[in-house]
Amino acid sequence: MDQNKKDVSRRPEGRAKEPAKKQGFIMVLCAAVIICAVLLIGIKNIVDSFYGSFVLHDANTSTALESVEPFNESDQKTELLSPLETQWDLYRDARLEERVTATADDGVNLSGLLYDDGFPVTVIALHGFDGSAEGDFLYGPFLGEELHANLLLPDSRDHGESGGTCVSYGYFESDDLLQWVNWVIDRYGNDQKIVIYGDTMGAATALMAASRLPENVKLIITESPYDSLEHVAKYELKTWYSLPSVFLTLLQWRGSDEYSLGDVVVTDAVGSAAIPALFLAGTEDTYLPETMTRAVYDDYGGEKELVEVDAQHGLLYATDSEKVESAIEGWWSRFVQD
Amino acid sequence: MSKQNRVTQMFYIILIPVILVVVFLNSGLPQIWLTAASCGGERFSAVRYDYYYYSCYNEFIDENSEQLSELGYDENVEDKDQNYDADTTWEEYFRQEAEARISYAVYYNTLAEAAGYSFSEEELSPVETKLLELQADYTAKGISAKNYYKAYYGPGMTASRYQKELTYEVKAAAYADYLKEHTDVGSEEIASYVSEHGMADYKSVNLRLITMSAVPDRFQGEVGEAQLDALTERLSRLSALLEAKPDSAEGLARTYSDGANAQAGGLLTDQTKSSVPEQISDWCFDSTRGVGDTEALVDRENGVAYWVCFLGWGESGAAMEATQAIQAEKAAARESADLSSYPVLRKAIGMTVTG
Repeated sequence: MDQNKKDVSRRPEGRAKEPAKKQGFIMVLCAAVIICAVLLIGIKNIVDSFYGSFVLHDANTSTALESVEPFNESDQKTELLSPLETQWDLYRDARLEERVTATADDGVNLSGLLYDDGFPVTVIALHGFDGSAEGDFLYGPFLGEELHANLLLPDSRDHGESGGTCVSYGYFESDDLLQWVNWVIDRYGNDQKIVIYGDTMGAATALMAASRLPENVKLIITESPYDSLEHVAKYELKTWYSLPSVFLTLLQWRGSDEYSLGDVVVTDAVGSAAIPALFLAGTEDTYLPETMTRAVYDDYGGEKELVEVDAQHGLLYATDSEKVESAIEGWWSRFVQD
Repeated sequence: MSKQNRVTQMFYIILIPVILVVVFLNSGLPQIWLTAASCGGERFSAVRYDYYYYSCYNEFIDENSEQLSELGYDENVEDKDQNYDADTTWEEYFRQEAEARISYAVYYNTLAEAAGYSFSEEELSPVETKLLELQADYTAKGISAKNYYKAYYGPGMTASRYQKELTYEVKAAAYADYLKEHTDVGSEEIASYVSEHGMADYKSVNLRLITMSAVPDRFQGEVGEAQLDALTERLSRLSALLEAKPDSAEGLARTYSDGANAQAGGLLTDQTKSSVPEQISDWCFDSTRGVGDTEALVDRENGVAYWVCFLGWGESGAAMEATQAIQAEKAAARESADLSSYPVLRKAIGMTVTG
């Protein structure tokens, strides 16, 4: 027998295992890729949902807000709000509602509703996130009929009939407010007195503009402003979406092309403000805790007062209208009335 | 072949075709290739059918957005899973409405083509108007045109396909108007109509009319005394504005009037006694009425306020009204008879792809 002749009928054991190892590795790799893709898609969907709802303000906003308790309907809320809502309806229905427009510095078309009673005072009322000029302004009958003011209700950018493609929580909106103030002065003349009312995002907007407003603005009334957008985002992610703040990094990475979370710091903007300001805060507010309002109040540079109401977010006036009206009347008589 | 090799091959054999099928179904190609329906020899792909279906659906939602629940429609439930009436689902209702429009469009386009009719720019102007309206809508919503047309008019719909179908429909409406206006009406027919409808002493008036309605209470859904008082105050403010600036009436009418004539600045010409609201007809047709006379009143029973300015007596009177009425009757009769010859025949597979 030729000992050099190899027995090709019998393969060495080592060679038979190599093809199986390679294919097994490929299968595991494919599975890992698919699992990673699914995880990334899931995370991306969550970030997209949050970003789309709260920055791009797209059609899914109402779905996103359904998971946020302060925006949920309840019988108790309806009972509290309905009398004021009826009053607002009657105020609005008795007047000729005028749709007015202005142009923002960056060319965005701004729109709003004006209720002109020919008074020497105009209140510019800034709504909160997901609101609009067509929404309820429950302070309207009190400010309009009892304190004798015209009402201008702008649609914030990317809300209502105003243009714009993203919500900047006061960053661009504060510039827009300056345009509206100038609009009121053009309409009524330089003797017109102006009062700014803002609710949450509207309040932050008013406060971020406070140091830049002209002398015509005699008083700012803010309800539940936040201190910074980053603080709000962390709080919302944790409280309402049960997500750790590490996801904030994804939002920041995703970012808007036009501004970043770090650009919206209300506390930085109010130190040099001089216009008298009345701060309204709900002690039972779980949407934007009172501590945020207090932080802004503490840093505010002008004459100020903080009025606390034992109420949830958005229900201050409905819960204790007497206290709120009394506070406003006090400041109105000092700084607005002749 | 080893067992692992077979598993791997099966994995790819199943996965890749599934991916391809998913991509194909989402590409919009089936909507273009498959026939959803036909009418009068005209083929309607799923995309074309979708134009009519979603136009009916979107118009229904726009016109009835505040009373959908009262009409028994729930936006959160599929159309095929909720009933319009005992025998019809909402999906079937919208299909029937869509198919009526398809029949109408095919019928009049067929007639126009047979007559060699040329459409003027003015007749086709509603196409541009509608496209601009949609552009404003998707711009305001921050959506791209591509995504907008897909979302609101079905998969496979694009701006160009929408425009093509819209033009087809606008042409039908324009030719229908042309036929109606060019329907011959004899003098004997006019005389007979005038006699039958007691129009012998017919006068007509020209007015500027602003109409405003009371807003129902949002909780009760009804107009009560408080709402009527609010309406009265609103009319009073409007009257004060008009008294201070009479030349502003046209603009104010456009802004504040609820009436169908609002966009015309409240202008109504050649109005007969029967076409003017009953609440103001006696005032309008008072023989002592002078140009510039105004009247403001609130009809509390019906929750409507009127501000009217008399602009003068009309010229055409009975003959024109009778002619228009007869033309409309003849057009309706012809349409009713002929449209039955243009039924819409559904094709099963294409219909499955649609909606």
